Amino acid sequence: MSGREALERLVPWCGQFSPSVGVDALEPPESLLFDVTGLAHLFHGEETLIGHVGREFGRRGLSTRIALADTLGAAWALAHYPIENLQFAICNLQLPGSPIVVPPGKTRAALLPLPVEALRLSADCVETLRELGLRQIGQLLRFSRDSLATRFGPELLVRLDQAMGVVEEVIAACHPLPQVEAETVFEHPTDRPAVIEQALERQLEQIARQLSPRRQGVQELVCCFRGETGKAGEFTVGLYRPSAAPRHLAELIEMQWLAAQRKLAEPIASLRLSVTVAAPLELEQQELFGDRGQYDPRQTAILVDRLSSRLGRSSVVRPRLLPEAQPELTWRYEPWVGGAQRRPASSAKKRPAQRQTFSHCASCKWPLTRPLSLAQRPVLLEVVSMAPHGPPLAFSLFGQQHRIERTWGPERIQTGWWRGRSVRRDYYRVETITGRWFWLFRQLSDGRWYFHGAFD
Amino acid sequence: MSSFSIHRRALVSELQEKLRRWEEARRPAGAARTSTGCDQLDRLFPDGGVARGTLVEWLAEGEGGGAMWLALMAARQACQEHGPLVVIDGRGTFYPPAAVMAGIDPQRLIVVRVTLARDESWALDQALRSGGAGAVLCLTDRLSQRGARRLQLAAEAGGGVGFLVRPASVRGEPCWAEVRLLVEPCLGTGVRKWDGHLLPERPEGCFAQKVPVPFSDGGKKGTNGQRAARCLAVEVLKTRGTLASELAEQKRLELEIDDETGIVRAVARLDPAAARRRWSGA
Repeated sequence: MSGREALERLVPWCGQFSPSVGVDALEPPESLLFDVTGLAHLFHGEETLIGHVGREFGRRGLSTRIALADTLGAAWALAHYPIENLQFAICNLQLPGSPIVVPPGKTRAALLPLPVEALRLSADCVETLRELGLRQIGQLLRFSRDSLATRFGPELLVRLDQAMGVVEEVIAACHPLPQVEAETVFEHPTDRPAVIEQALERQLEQIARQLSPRRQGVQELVCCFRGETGKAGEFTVGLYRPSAAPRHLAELIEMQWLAAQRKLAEPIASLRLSVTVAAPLELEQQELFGDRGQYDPRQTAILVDRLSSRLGRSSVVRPRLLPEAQPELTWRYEPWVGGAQRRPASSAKKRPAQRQTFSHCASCKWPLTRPLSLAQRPVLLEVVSMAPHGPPLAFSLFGQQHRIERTWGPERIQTGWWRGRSVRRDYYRVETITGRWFWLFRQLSDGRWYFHGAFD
Repeated sequence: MSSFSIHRRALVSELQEKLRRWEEARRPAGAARTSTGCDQLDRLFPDGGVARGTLVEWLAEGEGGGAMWLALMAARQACQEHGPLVVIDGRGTFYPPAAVMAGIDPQRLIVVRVTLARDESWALDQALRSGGAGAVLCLTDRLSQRGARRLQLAAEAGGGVGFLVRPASVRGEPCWAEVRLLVEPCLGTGVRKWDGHLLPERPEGCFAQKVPVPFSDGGKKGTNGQRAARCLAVEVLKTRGTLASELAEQKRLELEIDDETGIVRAVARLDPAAARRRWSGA
């Protein structure tokens, strides 16, 4: 999550302090801006207001540097460079980091000792000023406006005016997007599929209409329903790629609907669909000449959605390889829908596969050293081995005897003690007299043999 | 031979011909074909490759037989331009690192983990029907005859390619796949050169020799220092729309998989009978 997203998430919560809350327009953003004009009396004074804000943020585990001033520019400057203005700190101890309140009309006095960086200037401008020995805002004010504009460009003058209150600056308030949802309350509780289906379709059309001005589609949707006795149920539908097509969404909902309705076991009184995650729709140019051989990622997305919807997200997965030596820990499955990598396949193609432990092309070497089927748990074997530390000669697996013709190995795989139970194994690939290949290992701690995989 | 018998034979062949034409017509017109990655293996398929919109069955007996590997190699080729590979894992034993080592891109691999037979059949049907999968690979021993027929129709409708690895016990059942292949492991005999010459085989009982110095090669060398080369025999059991008598001339093929590169190549094994025929000019 970027800094801006993190700050924007706080905005709705900040509504308790001010009706107009914005996020710093600078990049990277690091400030939340509150318009508290005319609000101080509600909190019994500005000091109490600011103390309350600090305490509430502290309760969320967030440390703050708060300043309140006549202008946005001055508040920003004092919040970022508070050291020189301890006389305005409301805390008696006058510690650095205490909230600062600049009384009305004292803005100019508070700004004078601050460094020029406090004016939200670009790095180039600050550097030029510093080269000329201009370090404090007070020094700048000795120059005439004309000379400042000609020497340092319009930026400096604008920022100075904003801080001093000569030019008005407004807070671009962030308004959280309204909840996208649709609800149907049936006049009579019903369990007729046709009626419910029609209601679902109507709701999905409503949702699509709400999302279409934003050019967004549904990425995750919660379907809540209530039975005639008030018994409630809900399920979540996740999508691999955002979609606003009511038909596709209806199909995904219907896959889970039957099971959910069966669980409720009574007629439905109300039905609500709420979009929990909406994401921008990807616009793809239609091809002028359709090529049947070309791969269409949209079809894949529909397939993934469909499979995930019926079988569950954790059943439709992709492997992520991990830098582990122990064979059963060398990969982890991640769901295609709503997983850690929630991004469409088209953008995945553009990014290099940096998180893989090895590129799949480079790893085409020695592909036969790992079996395609790995037992969920190693199976203890009875083997005949001639030499105490040599490869096996014969073994019995699932009631079948196998005599070994050739072996390749050993390949020692061991893990460190810091992983908990350490593993020390000597792996052998074995070929039986019938030409079958298996992957066996001897546990070095007790010398026992295990079957771990088959080269199916 | 009676005229009735001749007449019956003519009727049977006429019906077979009709059946073949009908089957041919059901195949997607102008369906693209992909190679399996091995020319000689391609020749076992009608029209020299895996056609989109069809099923290919690989029958194997027991574990460790190598059919899944061949199917995976063919699926990798089929996926190159046609979307991700869908692996339906009904046994929970699929080991993705091995597939990645075999050249499958993990970002384009959809593993569907199912436990119930009906879910497995449904997932196969959806993946074949959708057209969003480059190839579908499934190791299954619980597919019914009707299920197999439905899958064929799904593949035809969606243009997907299904590679089904099934137990050899189904060889007597009707085949809805384009090709039904039997994969049998055979014993690799020493280090074989690609031209078919064999190097001397290792002496009997050499597995009792001292093992190579551990960890020197990560288990790539064999008991007598030889590289592993896996041998598999592939036999065409049935081809859809083709009569048994018209099956590809070479119905059986021996393949060898190179341990280092994973390349699948046909092995030229001298057939003594063929050599004799050649000598005698037959």
